[in-house]
Amino acid sequence: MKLKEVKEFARYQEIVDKYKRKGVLTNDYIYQDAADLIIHNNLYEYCGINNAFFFVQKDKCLRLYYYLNDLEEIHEFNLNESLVAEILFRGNLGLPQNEMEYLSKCGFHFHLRRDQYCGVYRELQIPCLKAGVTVAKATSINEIGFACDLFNNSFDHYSGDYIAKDIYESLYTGGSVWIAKDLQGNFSGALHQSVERGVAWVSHVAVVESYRGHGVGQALLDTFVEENANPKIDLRPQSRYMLWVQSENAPALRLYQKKGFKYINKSTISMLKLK
Amino acid sequence: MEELLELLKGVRADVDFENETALIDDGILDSFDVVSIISEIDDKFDVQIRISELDPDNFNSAESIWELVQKLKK
Repeated sequence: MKLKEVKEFARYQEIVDKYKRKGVLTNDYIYQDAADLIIHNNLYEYCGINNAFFFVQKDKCLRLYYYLNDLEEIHEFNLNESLVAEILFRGNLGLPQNEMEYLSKCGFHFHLRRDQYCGVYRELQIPCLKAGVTVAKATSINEIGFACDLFNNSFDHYSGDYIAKDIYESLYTGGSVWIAKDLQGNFSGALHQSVERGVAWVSHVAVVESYRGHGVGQALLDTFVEENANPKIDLRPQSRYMLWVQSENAPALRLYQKKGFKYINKSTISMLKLK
Repeated sequence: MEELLELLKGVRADVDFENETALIDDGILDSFDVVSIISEIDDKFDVQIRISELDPDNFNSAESIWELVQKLKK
């Protein structure tokens, strides 16, 4: 099977217009990034009779985006790369069985589920001062390296959580990583944030195993919320925060729910096909 | 418009669609939400929203989404 590079946005548009038929099943939420992916030579296509697929190269795998009009038209995707497909669904409608079954027939298996949570400042619990934990922005590449090693060892390599070394410098200069330390200055945890259109996102958060259950996660989350609240007093209550959390990560779920974050009926199932 | 508001609330019950006017610009809806909304709108109103119509201006408010739907139904 040979993937074809999408070289122009018009080609992307042509494929979408052809395969986005009534009742289509799709996970193509990269339309806003498509032009940029094409400029960076990182969007590929594979079109069947009734189904079409886009691929984006990630650090450890290819990400698959689909337009499915015929669930009997199966594709084996025999590529020399691992493949990941994220199925988007609304939690209140139940699991996306049709897509999961289709991808299973194509050789994928269930990998993990993630749910999206949202917090609005006025609805969140006030910060809880935690003795023995200090949180501050990372002040060196060394600290960035600690944080990213912690994230990469804690999280999944196939579902967008992996941080490649070539972006460490931008994380440092962007001031987007918080480091937690104990009173002796030992690293105990880290949180990586991003801000998009005024909404603060928890991109990654992890606590060193020996420090779990001691309020480090709480301290990181409290700092993230307070430091990203709108500085204008009248707008502060409306400050908005978002995050994705793996549905099986019970300690993280407890932390976010206790803080006041709410599930907003958005989830993804990650299906994986290893090379 | 009521049907649209009900549809939007079904996708994101936490959003005040009656009053928000910068759904995309303020990061309240992301591309995931837009894909879900488009899929529902296509089915509910029997229209076909194309890539060329995925302009943030078309999705910044319930009203602009409704105008898009009306335009496509003609």
